[in-house]
Amino acid sequence: MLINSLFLFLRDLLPLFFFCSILIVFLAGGKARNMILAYGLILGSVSALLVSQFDSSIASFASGNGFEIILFTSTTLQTLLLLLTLCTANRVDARLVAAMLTAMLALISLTSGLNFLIYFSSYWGLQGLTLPMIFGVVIGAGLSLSLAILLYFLLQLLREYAPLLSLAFPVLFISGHFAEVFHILEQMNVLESQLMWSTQSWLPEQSEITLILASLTGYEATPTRWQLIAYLCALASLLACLLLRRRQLLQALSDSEHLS
Amino acid sequence: MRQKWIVSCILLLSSSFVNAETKEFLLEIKDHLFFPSTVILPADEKVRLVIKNHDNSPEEFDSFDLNREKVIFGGKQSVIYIGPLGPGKYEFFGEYHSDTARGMVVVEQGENNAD
Repeated sequence: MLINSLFLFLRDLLPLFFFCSILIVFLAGGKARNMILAYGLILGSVSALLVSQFDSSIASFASGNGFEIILFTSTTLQTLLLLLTLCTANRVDARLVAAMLTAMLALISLTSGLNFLIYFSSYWGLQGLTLPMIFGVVIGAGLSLSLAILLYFLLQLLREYAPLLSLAFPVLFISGHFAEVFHILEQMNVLESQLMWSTQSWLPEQSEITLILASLTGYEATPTRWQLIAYLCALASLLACLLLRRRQLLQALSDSEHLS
Repeated sequence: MRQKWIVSCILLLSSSFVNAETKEFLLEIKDHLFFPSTVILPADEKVRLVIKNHDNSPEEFDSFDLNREKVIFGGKQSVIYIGPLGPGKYEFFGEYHSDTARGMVVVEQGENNAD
């Protein structure tokens, strides 16, 4: 149970730690950054707790696809919010940008936290399982925090020497996670499924390195055609927005008081 | 003429999204084990996999090879669609009990039974 808890913690919550690092680097500091982080995390955690209280009935909704619908909607909204943020940063009121980033963080916290809460609340308190679960969570939190700090320093370095390249990180992060959830529509029989290739033999999804890669970029060892289309569409639109508005975005980055 | 075009387009689109005849297979979870542990499926066909969880606790059906994951709550059942797949072996496991709950989908030409 320790290994299971550790693996599930990393799989579900590492993306949240990474996204917090990205936000901390790009929001130059001050009161606004702390507000976005605090409100986003609290809002997301409370929503995840509320949804997990009704997990069984939500799961029964829409022919047993209730959770999948929440997950898909949330991830699509995250992508749209990033697109809006890139398109409007330095053009609209800073409070509106802050609200969009808060909503994005809340949605990522909801999707990340929900999966883990289902597992944790189901097995918590069962004889002999509580202690290994606590150890798994503590080790998982320590590892996630260490990796998030490493990402923070990498992004800080990039932000200083190659700011445009550093902005590609949130784009890759969101595009990957957007594409990742397309298998939901395929397993619900809404879209046709077709596996494109498998890199499972040399970069297996259960390995530690791919767990990090998946959290950061949404890596899939066996992507499907629709996942590939979704990834390319999200990446193309976000990158186009990033390149078209690079001057304004770089200006916003250099302006440390932009969101304060 | 225009109406025919519209109807043809709708039919073409709906045929690419929905498969009318889909074979159904049952997979059960009991005591954190999958029954049957080997599911034999026909090649190049989409199938409907009904997963029934007889345990009181939830289990997450997960497969990196099939690119599928779904939480099945205790005492409930869920449906996922898989395929069309080429002949071969595709592993799956229960994410919450990955040490015991393990199984395999074997895709064969012209087979449609499970053991």
